[in-house]
Amino acid sequence: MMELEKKVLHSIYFVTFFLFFNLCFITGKIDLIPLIFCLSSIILISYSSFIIRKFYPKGDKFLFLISALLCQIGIVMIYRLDTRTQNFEIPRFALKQMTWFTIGITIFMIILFITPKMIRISRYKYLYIFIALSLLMSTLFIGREIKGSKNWIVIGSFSFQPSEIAKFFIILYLASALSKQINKKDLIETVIFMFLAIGFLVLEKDLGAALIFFGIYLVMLYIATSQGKYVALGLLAFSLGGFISYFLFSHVRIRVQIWLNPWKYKLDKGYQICQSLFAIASGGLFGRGLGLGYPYLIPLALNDFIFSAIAEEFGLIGASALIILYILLVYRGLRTAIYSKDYFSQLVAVGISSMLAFQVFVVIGGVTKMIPMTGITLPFVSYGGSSMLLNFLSLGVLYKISEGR
Amino acid sequence: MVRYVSTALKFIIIAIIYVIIFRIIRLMYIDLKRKGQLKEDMDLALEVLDAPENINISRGSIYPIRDSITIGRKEDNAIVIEDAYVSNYHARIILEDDIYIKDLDSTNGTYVNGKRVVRLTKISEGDLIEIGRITFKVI
Amino acid sequence: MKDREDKIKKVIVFFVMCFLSIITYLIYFNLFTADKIKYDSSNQRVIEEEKNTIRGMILDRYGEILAQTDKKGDRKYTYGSSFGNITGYISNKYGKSGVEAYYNNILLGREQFLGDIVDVFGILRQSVLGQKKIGDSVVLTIDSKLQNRIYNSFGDDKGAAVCINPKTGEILAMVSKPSVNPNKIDENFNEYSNDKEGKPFLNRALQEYYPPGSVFKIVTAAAALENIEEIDSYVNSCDGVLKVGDKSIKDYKEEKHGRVNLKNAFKVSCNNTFAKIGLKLGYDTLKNEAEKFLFNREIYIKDPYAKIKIKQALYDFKERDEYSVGISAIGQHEVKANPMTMALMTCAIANEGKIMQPYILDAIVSYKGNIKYKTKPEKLVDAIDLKTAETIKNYMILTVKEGTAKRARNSIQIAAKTGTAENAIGKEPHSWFVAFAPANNPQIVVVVVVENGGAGSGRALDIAKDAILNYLNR
Repeated sequence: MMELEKKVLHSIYFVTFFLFFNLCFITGKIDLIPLIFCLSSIILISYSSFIIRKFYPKGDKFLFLISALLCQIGIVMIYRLDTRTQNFEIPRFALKQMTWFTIGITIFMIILFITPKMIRISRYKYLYIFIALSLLMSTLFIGREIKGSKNWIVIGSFSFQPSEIAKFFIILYLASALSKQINKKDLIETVIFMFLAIGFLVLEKDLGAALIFFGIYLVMLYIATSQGKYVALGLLAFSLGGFISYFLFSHVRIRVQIWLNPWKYKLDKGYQICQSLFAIASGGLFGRGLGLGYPYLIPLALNDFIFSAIAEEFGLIGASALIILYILLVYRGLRTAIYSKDYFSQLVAVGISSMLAFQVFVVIGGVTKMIPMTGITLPFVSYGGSSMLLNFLSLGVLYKISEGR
Repeated sequence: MVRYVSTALKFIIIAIIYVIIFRIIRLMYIDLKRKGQLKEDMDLALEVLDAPENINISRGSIYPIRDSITIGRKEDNAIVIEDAYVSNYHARIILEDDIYIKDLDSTNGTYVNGKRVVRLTKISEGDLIEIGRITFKVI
Repeated sequence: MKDREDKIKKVIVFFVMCFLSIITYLIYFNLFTADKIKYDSSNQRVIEEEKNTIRGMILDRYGEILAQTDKKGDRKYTYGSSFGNITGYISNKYGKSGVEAYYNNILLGREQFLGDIVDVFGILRQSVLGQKKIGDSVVLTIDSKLQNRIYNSFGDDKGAAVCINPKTGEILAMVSKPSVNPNKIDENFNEYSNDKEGKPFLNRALQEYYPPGSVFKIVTAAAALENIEEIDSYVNSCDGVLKVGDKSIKDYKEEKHGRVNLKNAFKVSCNNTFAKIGLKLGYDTLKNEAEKFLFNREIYIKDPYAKIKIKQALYDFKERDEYSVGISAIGQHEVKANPMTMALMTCAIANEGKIMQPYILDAIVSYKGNIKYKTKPEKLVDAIDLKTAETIKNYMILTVKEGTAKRARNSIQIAAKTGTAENAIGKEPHSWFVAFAPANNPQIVVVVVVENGGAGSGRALDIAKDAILNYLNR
């Protein structure tokens, strides 16, 4: 099986090389910067997989390998979009993303080194929920509204989304609360806290995150209590909540209207989704090829709509490959949960995997108009520091669990 | 120029990604085959590469090696092969720091990569083990 | 533990289903939705792509250039207004029309042809040298000399003309007057669209209704020949006025034609006789006959790449009293037609009763001149049988020899029917002229309508005769 891992690793090097090699040509002149990117990526990946193999050989290396591949696809796409900026000289965003990738891997390593036995960190459930709720609440007061959602905190030139970090702590909280023998009172406690968390998100117009929080909660509840009725009850509450907020909040209503008929609003409110659909449509089955499409016409192509950009240039088959990679990542995560040693680790692994799964589903479903659009980022691929850090943090924990320590 | 480089590379890139996917799925398949056998030590396993029809072992079956085991025709072996060409206790796989195979004086012998096993032989990933009419691959 | 494992497996299945549903949805989207939205006006890709493509040329049937893009990227139309309704225009501000719109994908080289694979090296060289993509050229069935001649002979008159090869359905000319000058569309757009009188954007040949007047007698005659058994011995005495109820149907200048049979009535275009025959036939029979000649039917100028709608000619009305039916038999009242449908009707007479599918796209050629597609003529309908067609053909020959179209006499035998369509009161009637020539082996069908051109086909006849002689005497 070691052999298989090595084969996969080598294939990843090949893909990375070809992706960046392709980037060299897309400006019309021969551009050598991508090769530097390529080299640093390959060094980073090979070095970290070496460390993992050496010190933590029992963990699930595919978790790391798939994520690293996703990151490369993301960086290449961001670079490609960078080349369309005025007076392009340096790939500003790709450089930043590369930095985030490096920091992400570092965090991943640090988590491996410093995390104590998982069971030990299951003690502080109130601390976790406190951190999560204060992060969420903070945006209500000092948050800034960016792209229609008031879910950003800006400190100097640095801005981040607290809901991203809060997600992680919510998972820790739920895992520690649900891993013990629970009675009705404990259950109601989690309901109240989750209601608060999701409530804040709806108020901040961060509907995507609210959806994800809810999904994570339901899945973890289902695993912990082994009762289908809670899931049914949850879904009922969800439909009811959705129904009420449709009438209560205009931003919810607008999202749904755009979803039902984006063409009616194609020049204003529905502009983003329409442009995204044009991109996917013009990609067709095989895509136009890197640098040959017009993904820069999609608003927010770096962030939420990066999937459409990929679908335009790599087509349906490329986009499907990306989705399958996510399936595999989620599968490896949940497999880790199956093989984990204690309930707490198991729940954390389930939480993290379902966080990734819901996030991917909500964002890809959103940009393809399968479900209403909610602005969130595609894990490991979209441009953005806070999501990259959080994802590698979660990945570190997941890997740690797969190690069985 | 860009057009042709990108079009060609597009297919190459997507093809390799699918190769990666295929490899990981293959692993998933191996995983699913050991239904419910919870064991963290999954480093090595035997995959049946070739077996005659109408015996209890079929092509593609996977036997994880978690301990030292024996292979043979009798019921109390870990891997039972109901084949006339296999002795009652045919071979033993020994798991220590490395993994070894030993022939238990079988009638028809045990072969590793075509060579008959005489004494304790170290095996590793990719090796082919022949026992009777069955070929295993170490994965 | 085992229990949880099963549940986690269920969760795995759930997520895998979610993701597979996205892929399924994407496949569905690509198959069914993508093509519909791809060329939406708000998709800037379309504009970007058009900027990077040299648009193919529009050529006439002899390869003469009608429209091409010059080095600066401007679209130049060789003949301007006379082809305004055919080539159409292309403008960043006002979009596209005509051939530019219908065959846009071909002109931009978006259509894929089997032969394209052969030209891999051409495309390769093109892209290595950094050349722009070049779209395919569209060859029309139009004869540009004929088109220009007819357009010019209209002078300041309004109207339309259609020329068709009755044996193939090729449209040789299609004039609509007044027309727009596609070279100056950006400058003149507002002026054109404010011209309520001239309506230059209206393609009169396809999209305008005119009462067909006496030209409709071809339909009535065909109905009579097919439905009235004793028609050979039928004789009517015409006294210039036919009283129907409290109204009357008059002949031109109330001329008394005396005792006439069908042939002679056709020749002199006797309203009295045809109205009587119409009443004899009745509404349903007339309608049925008109439908054989494509009235009340959706018809198109058609090829695999475009479908250009022709405004439905109508023989369909509610008031079916004697006067209405009688007057409809001479093409008045609620009968509506456009020049194209009248041309197709004439084609049936000229082509042994068969109407060919009209088409305007002759071929598609690559920028190097390789033919990628060629339209094959197809039959549209069998309108009438050969015998009826031959009889009416003889009537039409006679009309030129000694009837209302005497002025069209020539060494080349022309078969024709004149028409006068009553119009708004106080204005000169529209004049119609439908003809084909040479009568024994028809090469061309010409239909001309001149708005307010006066009674008896005066202007229309001159234009049509000139066109026929010009076309056949080359």
